[in-house]
Amino acid sequence: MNHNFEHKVQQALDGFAIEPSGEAWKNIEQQLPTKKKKRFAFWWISAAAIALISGIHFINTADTKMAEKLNDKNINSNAVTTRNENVEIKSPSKTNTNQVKKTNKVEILTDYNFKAKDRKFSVQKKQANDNKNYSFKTQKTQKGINPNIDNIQSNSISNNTVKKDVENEDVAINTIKNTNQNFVIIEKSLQITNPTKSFSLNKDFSIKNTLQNSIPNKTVSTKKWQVSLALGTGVQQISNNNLFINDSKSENSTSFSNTGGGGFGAGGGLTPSLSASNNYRILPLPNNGLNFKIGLTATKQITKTFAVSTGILYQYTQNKSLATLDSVSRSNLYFVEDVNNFITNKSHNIQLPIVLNTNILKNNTARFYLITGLTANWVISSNYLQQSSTQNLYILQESNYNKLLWSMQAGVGVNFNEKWIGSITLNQGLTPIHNTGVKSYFTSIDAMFSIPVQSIFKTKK
Amino acid sequence: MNSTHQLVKDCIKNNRLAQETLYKQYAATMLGVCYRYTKSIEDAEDVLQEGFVKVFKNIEKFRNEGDLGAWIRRIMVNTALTYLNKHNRYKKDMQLDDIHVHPIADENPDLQIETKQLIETIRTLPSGYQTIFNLVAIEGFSHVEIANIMHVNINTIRSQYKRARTMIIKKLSQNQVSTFYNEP
Repeated sequence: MNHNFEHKVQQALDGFAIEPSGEAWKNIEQQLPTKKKKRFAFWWISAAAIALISGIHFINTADTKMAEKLNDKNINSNAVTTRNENVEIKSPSKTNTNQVKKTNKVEILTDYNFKAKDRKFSVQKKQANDNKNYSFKTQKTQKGINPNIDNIQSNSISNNTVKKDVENEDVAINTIKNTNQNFVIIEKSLQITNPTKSFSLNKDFSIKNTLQNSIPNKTVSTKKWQVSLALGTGVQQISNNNLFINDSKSENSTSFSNTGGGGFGAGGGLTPSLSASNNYRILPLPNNGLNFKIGLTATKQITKTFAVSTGILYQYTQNKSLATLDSVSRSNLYFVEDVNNFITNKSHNIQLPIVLNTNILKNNTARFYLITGLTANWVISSNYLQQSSTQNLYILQESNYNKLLWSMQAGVGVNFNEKWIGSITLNQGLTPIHNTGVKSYFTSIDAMFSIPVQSIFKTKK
Repeated sequence: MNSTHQLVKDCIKNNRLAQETLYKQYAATMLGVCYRYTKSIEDAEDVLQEGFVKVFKNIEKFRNEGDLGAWIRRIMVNTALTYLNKHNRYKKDMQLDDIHVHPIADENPDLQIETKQLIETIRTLPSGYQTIFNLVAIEGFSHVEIANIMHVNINTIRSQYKRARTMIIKKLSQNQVSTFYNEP
């Protein structure tokens, strides 16, 4: 079949176009979905959910681990003063009250704000010559963690016996071997047993046998704010950092030039889009940069699991844009596009983070926690390239934004014995850049290093 | 990364400016395509709008190996066919086999085809003929493909295309003669 006619038809129609009415785009625009929710929202929700679940799990399963650790330290510290108050045991048994009073000094230390509610201790009076010698055993009634009272130093007396709770070997088995021995049991419910009767206390308390050593009257409270000096840095990427270039604007004949020969693709792998219609182009600016921050943070443990953290930080960020200074006019700096040269976009910010820390793991040296939070970012000043309204040049806009932008963060932190704290967080939020009319947002991975101020002073001493 | 690739990426992100840029780049050509399938400019714009909405909603399916213009054009053609089908335009004309068309002596006459004249001539055809002519002569679809698209017997497509072609050649020839005589 001869396609001469078809060929002519195709040729005739080649390039045939009709300009649509102005309403067409508006109608299309109305039917288009709004900007997709950013993928990071999913990660934030996931991180928050994980943090919440971990927190609940932590509360339900782990009990006084962290607090006991603190307590152990205090027990070993002779610097802590003691309180020698006689116990007031409200016993259901009248007959034994005196006996206990006589032989023990029990101190109720309400400063201890942690509770081993899933265990029961009993103190058994030993029938021995010295009625001040006791053994006590712990009984684990639910899944829990052994209160580490092995750290109590003891001077053995030969006639003491060691009582072991053989049924619960995973729980500390301790013997008070010396009348000079202090021991501490922190329990919500203590059962003191003697050969005939038992008593119960329904408070957190400490039992102190005699006077000398280290029963703290004050524990390290988790309710105080811990102020830290924080230093940090991070890498960041800015999305939508595009210049939407209107080529129809008159060019500055003397100075405008596209270095790289009619395009921008020649240098540094930075290829602008020449994708738009005749009059428009999109020039993606380099969008990688660094940030540095310094400031003070304050953390307060609100429960064993959760802590809140805030602070005030100064942050400096810098990114690069491809441009070369062309001229200075009326206090403005004019730039032309140049793939071979960069100018720096800078911003100065004051940040106020509001963070929730959720403990997830702890060992003898470190405590790990999840970080989720928001940061109020007050942009003090920021500069960016913006196209001149009359020329195809770009003005380095520098303005005092005095503007509040929010970012979100999630990550992990580690606290090494309250001596230093490290964290890595993923941050996402808005930037002051809005070259394309579309707000830009940044993603950064920041590393922070903090030293508690108390720790600094202690070191100096 | 080439410019089209970047533009597509921005459109996937629902960047309105990028979408508008892409629209401005292709709208006129695509309206030309839609115009050939419809009877009025309003219908053509309807198809164009519907087509571009499909383009933006499905742009992540565009693989950057191909030509973006061709991909959009294909969507426009499909949208036009759906539009015509929805409005029952070409189905009716499928029954017009009894239209009597005198065969022409020369299957490939030596015509000077003027774009505007050709377009208007195509648009004077009954919708079914118009569609088939567009798909075969301009888009380059095979008869089998069109039969599948339009759910019509291949022989009907073949005969209708022949008729449409003959009608257009006749009309173009007549116009050329009249133009010749009308020239000062």
